[in-house]
Amino acid sequence: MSLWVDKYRPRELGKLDYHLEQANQLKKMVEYGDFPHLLVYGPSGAGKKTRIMCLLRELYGPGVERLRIEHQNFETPSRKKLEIITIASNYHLEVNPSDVGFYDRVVIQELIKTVASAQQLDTSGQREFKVVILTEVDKLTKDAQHALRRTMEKYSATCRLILCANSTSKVIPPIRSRCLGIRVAAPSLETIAQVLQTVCKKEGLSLPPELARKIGEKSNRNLRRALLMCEACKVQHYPFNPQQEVSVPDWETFLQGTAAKIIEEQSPKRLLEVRERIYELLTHCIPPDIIFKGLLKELVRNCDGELKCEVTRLAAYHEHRLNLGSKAIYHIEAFISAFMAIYKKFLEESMAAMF
Amino acid sequence: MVKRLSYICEEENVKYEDGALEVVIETSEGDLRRAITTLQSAARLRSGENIKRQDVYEITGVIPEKWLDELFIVCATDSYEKLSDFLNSMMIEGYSASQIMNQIHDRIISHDRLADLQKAAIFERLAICDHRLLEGGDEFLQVLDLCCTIMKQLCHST
Repeated sequence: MSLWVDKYRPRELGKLDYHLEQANQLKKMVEYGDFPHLLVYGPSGAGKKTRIMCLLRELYGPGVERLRIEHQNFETPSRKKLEIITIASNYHLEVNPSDVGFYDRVVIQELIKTVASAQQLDTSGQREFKVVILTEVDKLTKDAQHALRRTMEKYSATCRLILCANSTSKVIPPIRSRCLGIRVAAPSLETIAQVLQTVCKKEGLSLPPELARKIGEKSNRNLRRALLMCEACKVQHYPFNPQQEVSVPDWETFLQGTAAKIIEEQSPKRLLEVRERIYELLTHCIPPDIIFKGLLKELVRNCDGELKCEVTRLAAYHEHRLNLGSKAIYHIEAFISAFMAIYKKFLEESMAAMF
Repeated sequence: MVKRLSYICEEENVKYEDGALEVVIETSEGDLRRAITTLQSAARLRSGENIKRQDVYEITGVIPEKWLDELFIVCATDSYEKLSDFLNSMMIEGYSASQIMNQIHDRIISHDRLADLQKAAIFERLAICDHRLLEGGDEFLQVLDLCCTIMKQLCHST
């Protein structure tokens, strides 16, 4: 049994649920025959990949859905062996170069070179170019991005790139200016509720509108997460109950608990306890920036206006250092202890003001 | 530049709405190559139809003015929760942090309620946040930090 997310993913540009005008424009562009390199950006769960696959299908027909997974091997100049997984059809190749971390530049150059130097065999009725999809471009190193920009120009006759990123802030300007940027905004709450209704109808279930709305809010307008939550709700309790609790991921509750512990007591002993909980989160692969944002959100609830700004400043400061450093735990702990210090001071001052 | 762009449009048989070329030039900050690329992208996207001003904004990723108007209104309410929620919804729309900062910068320069010293304080924070963002800091946190500073300057200036 496949998940609803995959089962009901639209396969054609004409069948998308939202951003219809944009879909129309894409369709027209493809009909025109050729298209420039694309840079598709938007938050996760907004439908970037779905749109890309629809676009490819429009270009090459249903053949693009016959996918095969390949393992490719590369060797760095320093003779280190790298392996990366690519997903390919006869017409396109999808790869996430940031999987190999520091050596992404090698992968990009080699991969595009092999794809682009091979001409399409049967050009009759086909396009004369192949498409390479690179995901998480914003996670690429600057080196790799510069390499990419050269490759883009060199092989523009035989290969089109579709870049996929969460935000354009971390994509270097030369790449941005070579691509047609396509912004995919997250769907609105109404749209999410609507999509959930359609999916449930197709599954033969009835979904109360209140619950649909609640799921939409909980998912932070992330359609993928909303669909997964909806499916989880169904497993938990069917028929749906409008008052039903929407289950949030375990780690989110855990993070909230951690924040509550910090608020409760500010002492070195408590810091050690909190440290253990943070380690727990990190070993379960929760990204440090999510931990930061979650903690900030919970912690500021107990502060007054002035203090909130200060805490935000601390979070921004330590999160930046985290990206420069190598060990996440140091920086998260530094943030927590700094917070404890100013929070305790704030409490003592307000106590003193009372007497 | 307008002359050059309209010449290209004529040669390539591209039609455009009044004022669209001015928008192209404005968003490309005087960079002719960028302007021409933008123009070509817009022509591709519209293929055959009139290029509208809105299209150009969309391609270059410029945030519509109404979002920024609202941002400053929210900053002036002095409510951290409202600010945080609003920024979250702005990020979810897919606008990039660096672009938000750019446009905030333009706004602050011509802001008439802020004194020079206040502007200086904001710009200092803007520079710090922009630097952090470049080094890989989280978008949401950095913009939130910047907006907190603006909020403070707008509401608690003594």
